[in-house]
Amino acid sequence: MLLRNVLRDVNVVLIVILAFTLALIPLTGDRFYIYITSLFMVYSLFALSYNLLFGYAGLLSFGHAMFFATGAYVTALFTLKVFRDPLVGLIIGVMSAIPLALIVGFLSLRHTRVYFAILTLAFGMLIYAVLVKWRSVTGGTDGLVGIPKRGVILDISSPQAYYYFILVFFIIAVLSLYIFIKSRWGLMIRALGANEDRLPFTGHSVLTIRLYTFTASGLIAALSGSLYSILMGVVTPDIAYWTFSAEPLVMTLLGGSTYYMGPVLGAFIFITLTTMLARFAEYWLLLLGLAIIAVVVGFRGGVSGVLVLAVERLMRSVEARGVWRSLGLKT
Amino acid sequence: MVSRRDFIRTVGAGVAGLAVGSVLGWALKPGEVKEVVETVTVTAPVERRLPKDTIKIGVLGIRSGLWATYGEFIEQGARMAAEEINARGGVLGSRIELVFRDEMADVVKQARELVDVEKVDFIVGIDSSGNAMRVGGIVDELGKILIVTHAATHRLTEELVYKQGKKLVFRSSVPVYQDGILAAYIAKDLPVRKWVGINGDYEFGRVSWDFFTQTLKSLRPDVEFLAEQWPKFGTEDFKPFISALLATDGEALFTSIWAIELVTLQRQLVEMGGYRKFKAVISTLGYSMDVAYALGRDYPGAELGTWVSGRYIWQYPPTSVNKSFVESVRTRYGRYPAYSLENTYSAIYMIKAALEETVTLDPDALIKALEGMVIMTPAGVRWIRPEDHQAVYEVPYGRIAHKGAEIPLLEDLKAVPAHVYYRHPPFT
Amino acid sequence: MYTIGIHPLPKLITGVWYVSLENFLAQSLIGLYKGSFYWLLAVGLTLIFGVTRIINFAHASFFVLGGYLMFTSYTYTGSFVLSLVVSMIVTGLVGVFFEILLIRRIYRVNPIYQLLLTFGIALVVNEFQKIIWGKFPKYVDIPEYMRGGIMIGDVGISYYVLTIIGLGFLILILVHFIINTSLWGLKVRTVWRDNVVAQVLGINPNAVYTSVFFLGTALAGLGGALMVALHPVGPGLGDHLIVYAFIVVVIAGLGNIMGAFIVSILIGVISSLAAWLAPEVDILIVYSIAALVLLLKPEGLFGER
Repeated sequence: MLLRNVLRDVNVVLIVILAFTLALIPLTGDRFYIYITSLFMVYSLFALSYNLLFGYAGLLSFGHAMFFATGAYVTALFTLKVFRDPLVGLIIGVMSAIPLALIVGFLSLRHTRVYFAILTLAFGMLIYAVLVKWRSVTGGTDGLVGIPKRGVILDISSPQAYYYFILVFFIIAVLSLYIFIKSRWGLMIRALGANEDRLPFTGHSVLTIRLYTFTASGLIAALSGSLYSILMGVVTPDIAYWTFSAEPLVMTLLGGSTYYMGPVLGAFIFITLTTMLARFAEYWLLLLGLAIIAVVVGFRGGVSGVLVLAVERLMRSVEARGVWRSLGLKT
Repeated sequence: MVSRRDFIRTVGAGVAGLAVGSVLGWALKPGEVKEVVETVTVTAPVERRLPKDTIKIGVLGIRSGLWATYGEFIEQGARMAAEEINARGGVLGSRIELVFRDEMADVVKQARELVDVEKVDFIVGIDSSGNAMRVGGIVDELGKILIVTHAATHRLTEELVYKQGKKLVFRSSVPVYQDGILAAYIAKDLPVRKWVGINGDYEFGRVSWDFFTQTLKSLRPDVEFLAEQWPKFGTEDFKPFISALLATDGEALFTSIWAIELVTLQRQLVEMGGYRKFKAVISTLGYSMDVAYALGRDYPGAELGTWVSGRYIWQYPPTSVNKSFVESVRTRYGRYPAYSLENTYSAIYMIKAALEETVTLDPDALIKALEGMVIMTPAGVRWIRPEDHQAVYEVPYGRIAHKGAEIPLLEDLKAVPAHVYYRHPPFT
Repeated sequence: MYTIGIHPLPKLITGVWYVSLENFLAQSLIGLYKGSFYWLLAVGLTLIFGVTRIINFAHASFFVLGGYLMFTSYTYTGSFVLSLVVSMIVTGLVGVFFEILLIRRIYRVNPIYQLLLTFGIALVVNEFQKIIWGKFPKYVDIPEYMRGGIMIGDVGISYYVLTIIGLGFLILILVHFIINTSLWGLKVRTVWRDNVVAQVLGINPNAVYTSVFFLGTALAGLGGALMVALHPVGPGLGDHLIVYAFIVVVIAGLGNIMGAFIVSILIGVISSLAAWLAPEVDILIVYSIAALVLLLKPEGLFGER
């Protein structure tokens, strides 16, 4: 029964299509596209993890980079100093999100959403300060270099190899997160985001649910950070600065926070824009600011919201609803 | 057969303080001196041609934010070199084309784009040490030679080239040895014992201070370091740090703070009485042209001197190569040349020399040509040390002196031969 | 320069340094001066939040805008005081422009979107500054009649610095005075307490919001205008300052003017003393205090929730 539902789910179809498309990219042989797409996957995960907090649980965070940076640095340190293998390093990096999420979450999630936002900013910058100051371990502002792709268990040194490495984790993460959201837990999270005040009446504690969400979100973000550090081979503290936390926020807003795959679309737009506008890097922040304003004032649902609206309008006008149902798909 | 080391020592000793006097285009090969009046090009035999008619060079610099001036300097240096070379017929007949990118807009993406999309043959530039390490880290994947012309971290050459064997990385500018180690040689001769330091709280500041204190202590065991302050990167206001330093018995001040922050620091130092208290001030990048022009006639002088340096001092060496270079820059840009302008200019000429020697774009052959290269540049004779691909040349410290020009000049230039103050392999 | 020679009481030797009363005084004065800047940055933010419940992410950008305007008007008019006033007013007007055009639409919206909108405005303002004034930093010189200062021990504290400290106190008194005694202040307080009741009483909340926005933003502009004589304004400064503004306001408790003043001064003095006595940890101290306060007293030290 669940499988039938899953197969009819639009989001799953989207994910499968995306997975196939991504799997084909390395066949083009263009190294730059492979790199950009790897980056796209990393950012998508980061943005998806962010939207779990923002779109589903209604929590705005300005410190999300702390998970990304922690995953990246822990992976780097582990593979450089303890055990030289990217796979093991990745797993350790992801795990490191758990204590961080529990500590920071426990301290910050008890407050109202506004205070939470500012607290995450402060904690995020605290992590940044530690990364900069603790030179003997983190290499200070120069960071850590030489993060290996060739390890004891796994050798992913070729661009194709580490592309598929990222792709595998990408698919697993995107699917798992989706299943999580569709599950009972996800339902509670969405209830939290929709109407926080009523939630305790169901017998669940707001803090506990928020904590679970925060941890799940942190895990995915740390995964994206770990993948990033292996991809780059180098980590520096600026990935912990608060302006980096703003990037998944922007991707989510642009793509749309109401639909599951919105952030992925947002990541795509973001990367395309920043790559194409590299020459106009000076002005792109202006466009970004205007885009954010436009989204808040007009298009709350982001680009995916606009798309869905357009599709719905199209369906209504062409009386194609029947087509949809006959295909056996539901939204 | 004169060993290379002795040869360099002789050349180094000769250059220090003396005019070498050569015409643009002297390319000194070890063991023999080839007299070339003009760089190859016009009179080149037809068979020596490069595989491409256009040699593309990617140029990375900081083009946005508070340090955008430096990206501008790098661009100017690259442009001048490219224009000069193209005007004289290019490199063995091939034109040089430059592609500029902002290293602050995700430097790794920019580097990859330059190589994979723009298909550049070389990359030069990079102001920030962090960015240099990032690009240096993937240089094997990119497969193109990178010549860093500003970023100063010693880890670039000591770690990436020497320890990790990333042979595609080179650097044409003096690294942090200049800021930390050479400064100690200047400090040891000053009649002061008690030092305080104010440096940026990031690797460059930390390493400068570490090198300075360690070296000075070994040269003059009687010195004391009373206090150190670490303003964060991008600090707008140094007042609390300055007053903390003034609260000590310090006699002299050391700082590696640079660019616009240095301008602010100097003005605040004056305002708060720093120049009454401190008898000597060492500012390692104090003669960077943006600072010199910004402070101009108000550049403060301490009783025993404000000792400044950079990665190239336009007054040194007093060779005709340098003088004509300075004139060209003044004509073209209306200002005296900034150090990273010269460093980038020389990097382009290094590339030209390597291409002319190997007549190929094969990176391995070019690496061999660059390793051990001895080349005459405005900053003097540069020797590219084969072990770590670091250009070895002298840049002096000098005392700020006002001679009525729009910027202060330097007197009492002190140049210590580079092989004395540079760190050497195995870099322990 | 006049010298204040405070005869140093018995010096304590802590580690390598001598702790003397002179140094303590000098360092504290510097701390007061820094605190005054934090205050000028925070007062507008607090005022705006207190009345409109909006957290203005763009606040630091307006502070920086004041600096840029000061540069331009001082270069053209040569009159320091006039330029200060002009910068202040123009910044206020720019704030009003945004308030009327954009912020007014989101007063009743989810606070998250309010924060996002002001974030977007911050980006736009920052970029426009870059377009208009270029990417290289700008600064002005302290006017002739303000040069000079006093010496405390070996530390020179300029008159300008002392003036800023004085202005900080002055602004506190003025704002307090206006809010508590004037008719306009009465309207503000009413809207602050209860928006609906205010309307019943015939007060137009929109007019109050707009005027509060003007005052808050103008104060930020004043701060920026004063700052530019001491260190340059340039791109990226806004990003840097907004963090401090938030920290002050959050520790103090959103919406409390007096609290914001006390906390600004405290943070200024503490980080200044920390720079002197414990140089490594000064920034960590500030973040840690912020975290600590929020954990123990989430509404802030003087908060009203």
